[in-house]
Amino acid sequence: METANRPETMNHVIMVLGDTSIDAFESSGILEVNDNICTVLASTERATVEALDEPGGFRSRFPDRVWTVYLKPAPTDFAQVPQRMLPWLTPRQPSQRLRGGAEGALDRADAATRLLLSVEFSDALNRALIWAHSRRITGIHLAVGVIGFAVAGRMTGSGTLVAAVDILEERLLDFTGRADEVWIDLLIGAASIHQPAPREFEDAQIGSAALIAELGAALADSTLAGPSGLFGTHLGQILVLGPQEGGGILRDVREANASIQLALSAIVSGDSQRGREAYRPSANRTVNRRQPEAVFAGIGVLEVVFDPAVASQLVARRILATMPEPKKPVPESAANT
Amino acid sequence: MTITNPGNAGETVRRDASAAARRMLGTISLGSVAPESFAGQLNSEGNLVGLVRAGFDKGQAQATIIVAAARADIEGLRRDELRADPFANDCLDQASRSIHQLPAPLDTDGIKQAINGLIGKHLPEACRDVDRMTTSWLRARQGADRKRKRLKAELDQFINRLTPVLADHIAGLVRDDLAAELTRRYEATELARAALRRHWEEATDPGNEIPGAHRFSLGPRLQVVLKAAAVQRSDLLHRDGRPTEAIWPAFGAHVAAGNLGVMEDPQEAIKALGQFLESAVASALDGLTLDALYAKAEEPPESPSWIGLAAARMLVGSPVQPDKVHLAQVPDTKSDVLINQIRTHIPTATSAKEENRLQLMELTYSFTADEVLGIDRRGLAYVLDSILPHVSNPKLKGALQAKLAAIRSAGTNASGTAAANGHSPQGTSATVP
Repeated sequence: METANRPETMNHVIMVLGDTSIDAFESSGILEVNDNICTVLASTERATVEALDEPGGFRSRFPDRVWTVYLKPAPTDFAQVPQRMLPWLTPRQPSQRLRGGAEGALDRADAATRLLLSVEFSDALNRALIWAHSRRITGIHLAVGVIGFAVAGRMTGSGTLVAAVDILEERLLDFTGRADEVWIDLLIGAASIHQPAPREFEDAQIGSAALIAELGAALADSTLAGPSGLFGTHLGQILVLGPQEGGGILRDVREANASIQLALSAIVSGDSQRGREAYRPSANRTVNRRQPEAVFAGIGVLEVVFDPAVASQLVARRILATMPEPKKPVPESAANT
Repeated sequence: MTITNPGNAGETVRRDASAAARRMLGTISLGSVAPESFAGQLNSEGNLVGLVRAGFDKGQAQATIIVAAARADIEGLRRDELRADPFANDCLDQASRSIHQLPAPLDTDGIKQAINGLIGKHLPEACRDVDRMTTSWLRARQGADRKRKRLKAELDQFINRLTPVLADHIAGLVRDDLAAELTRRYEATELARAALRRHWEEATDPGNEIPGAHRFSLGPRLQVVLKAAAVQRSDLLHRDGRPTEAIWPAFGAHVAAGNLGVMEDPQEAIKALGQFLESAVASALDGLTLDALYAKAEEPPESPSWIGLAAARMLVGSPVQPDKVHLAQVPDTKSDVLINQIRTHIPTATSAKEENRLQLMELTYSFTADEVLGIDRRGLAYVLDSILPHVSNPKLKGALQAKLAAIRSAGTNASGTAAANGHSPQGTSATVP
């Protein structure tokens, strides 16, 4: 929802994870119309990040509030990795050493491992949090918001979300007692879980289900999510997007992109925050008489757009279909008589 | 030239050709055929023939001028015809038939024969007399005026006989230039109007939905837009959106005002009709916002339907009635029609800057992960089993494996979700539509 020149209630950090999510975010135009948003864009594909960083690219348009991170391949052995992280890392199999790399992660586990080992991601997140805490807002302040944004369009990108929240919670330790309250929401464009997906969408379906299952498990036991053991400390809702009609949640990546753009812009609007405030589990974990891990929320979105050009075309077709039989003009001689 | 009736186009051309022939031959005088003070051997007959041939040679230029004028007149008549009825095609038909009736032009031999045939016997004699008189200037001064007068009289008669021949020749050249063109245009128009008629007869109603860019985007109902357009274009549309009888003449006037060739090409004609209708609607909608659209159409916004379409998918599958929050951002315009309507359903609706975009969102609270996954009819155990190879870290994988084992050992499947959470199994997959 467009919010320019309207009272703000929050500054937001949006963590955008994976190429599909980056594509949806970049094309949403949300940064253009919301000055109270900064973003960290992370991808396991080097080309994606290079495109964002090139002169005239997305980052150059918002240099003070866009941070990009290339999640480089993890080392094949973890000899140099701090011991405390090892239980959450998945080493690559020797047979897979030539796969993945700069072209992207091998799988969800590889993506999560890359993210957990990425100092650049952690630093970028820190800078974004500083930006969000330091920017003066124009309305009545509620909190600083962090939105983890992932379209489970393919297998890998969504694999980083749990790890990203863990890192985020750890970074927030630095802000404890010295800064605003922070609300973390996760916005997931999920594939159909309800019915068998078309073959080309099977990955997304499995990725979506895996992500939701992981989040559920992490909520039940925060020590499973990552080395910080703090997963869920600031968590608000996990918003799962989808339309009402049967057949699943989202049909394809295009649909995920379109709807998640709408949802994201709705979520960052000040009015939305006020409406959702009462439902924040961090304020009252037993909201809606549910247990603490019941933090998944459904989102439905719809825009009604009046596009005169499109409407004119269709109305013209209706008129054509209902035009009367052309009347023969009355000859002048007959008219005179 | 002024062709006022396409059926008389040929006669008008003939009249113009006659006038042109008279003008051209009028320049041939005694002085130009046999100059009085000619120094040397005069050949007045040769001069005459040369001048006449030159006149015939200039016939093409005259014909071109007449063709241009005729074409302009016929186009004017055609435009008038189209203004009354875009399917009419009498003008080109009648003009073509009329022009076809003109005589054929003369070829080089024909011109030669026509000139020679009209010269006769007396004119050459009169020419020779004057020629001789010129060479014997001093001796034969006497009778000079009489001989020149005789040549003048013969010359006038010759010109009088020649004028209709040249006129026919010019008219024939016009025919050659114009008749085929008019026939071709008539035939092309026939094809175009048949195609246009077929296009109209086979046109299908697009339905009442105006789609948006994706599944979560749509436009106002087509009937609402149509009615709003009808208010603005009452000359073309009844209040309920049905086209009036004036719509065809209006289309005729539209094409008559532009390139007539459009109506001589089936695809162009069809395209022109589409463009005319679209531009008529677009001009009627010009400046209308989403809000003003409903005010103008005097139709209530379809708020309940929209809100229904914005409902969150996870409303189903919950063991308890979830709480809902509705949000709306309504275009901020002068009229309050839309925002008042939306606020009857969503009291917290706020106004937004965009004029033509209403945004609705529904949030439903709150669910556990197992409830979300339990939507799959194959059961939670199946889902967990499918995703285990794809879990993002070993610790989570271990936890999910343990959960799966627990479900299996409890002998449950999807309904085990609710059991694991301490809820009755009602309302998960069973409530999925």
